[in-house]
Amino acid sequence: MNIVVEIGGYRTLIEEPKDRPCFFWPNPRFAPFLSADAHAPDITITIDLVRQLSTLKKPKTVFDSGAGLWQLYEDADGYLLESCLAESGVPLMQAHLSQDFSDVRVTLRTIRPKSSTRDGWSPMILMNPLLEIVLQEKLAREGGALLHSSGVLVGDDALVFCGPSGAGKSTIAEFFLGRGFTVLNDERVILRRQGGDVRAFGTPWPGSSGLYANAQGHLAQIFAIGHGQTEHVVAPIPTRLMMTRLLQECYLPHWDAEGVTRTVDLFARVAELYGSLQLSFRKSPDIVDFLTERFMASVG
Amino acid sequence: MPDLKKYAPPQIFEVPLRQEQAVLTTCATGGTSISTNNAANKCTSGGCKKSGTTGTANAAAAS
Repeated sequence: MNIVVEIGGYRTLIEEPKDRPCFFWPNPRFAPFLSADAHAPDITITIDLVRQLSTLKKPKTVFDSGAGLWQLYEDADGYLLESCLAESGVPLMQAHLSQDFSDVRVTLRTIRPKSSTRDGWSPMILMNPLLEIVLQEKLAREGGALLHSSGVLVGDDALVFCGPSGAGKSTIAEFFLGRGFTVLNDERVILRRQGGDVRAFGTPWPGSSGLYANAQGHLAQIFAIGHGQTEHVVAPIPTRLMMTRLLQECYLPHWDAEGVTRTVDLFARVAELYGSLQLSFRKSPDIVDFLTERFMASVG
Repeated sequence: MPDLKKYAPPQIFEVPLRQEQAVLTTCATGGTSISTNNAANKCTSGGCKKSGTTGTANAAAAS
């Protein structure tokens, strides 16, 4: 079975050559990101199904996520990645990744749901964290970032709200949704430099409001956000503070100095293009009018 | 000759990172990991903030 998903403008082809049963798929969250076009994928993931995963010969650890979730190891011609069940440490998936993360060969343990008499597999095991890690690396290398932020579309223009958990990302996304605007995502948004433009993309990895869309738009403005007391306030902050906020909320490829450097360059460019603005807002739907009147050239 | 940017010396500053924000673990709402013990659509990782819930597409937006 072949599956094609397009996230952040990256086309990923997932191939399972044995054509074994595919469980828990299609998943509603990924359905909007499915594509019928398998031509010239940016990322190819090839699946090998086995009954039991072998113990990896682990050369040199280059990154450990902590909590026993996933580890990345250096290999002669790329990387090895293993993700595990946090509670037991049982491996869920092992993958060999090429140097540029474009070619991924995954070994997956077969599963058999109670409803089935046959062994098979589920693409969901690949979607998190493997595919996110691959995108994280490719974005960093190619002028993009996966950002802990919410994003909304007003026409073809995007507003992005960056902040830690509890800052109001989902709240502001819900207010825009209530007014009929598209929410790219309430938790994770992709930014990419494309030519002279910066674009914001929705992802299938939502937060507490569960809002996501396969849509994209020209970045009109990005904010570091937080809850305010009595009124909505947009205030300039030092570039250095904006850079800090963006870097804190970005999923950096910590194992790749070049990737981190390019991400810093991206955020420096974003700060140069859009300024460094902090938005403090009170929990009121009129934040939509407040922002669209000030930052959108035309409101659809 | 185009205007050149004024030279600014390099600056070093520290960015304190928090693991929860800085490292990909699982999605914030769960439902994207499949247990190998045959449970359906169940988040099995300790990294979830809201294990067991599922997301909702803003379908109007997906068009």
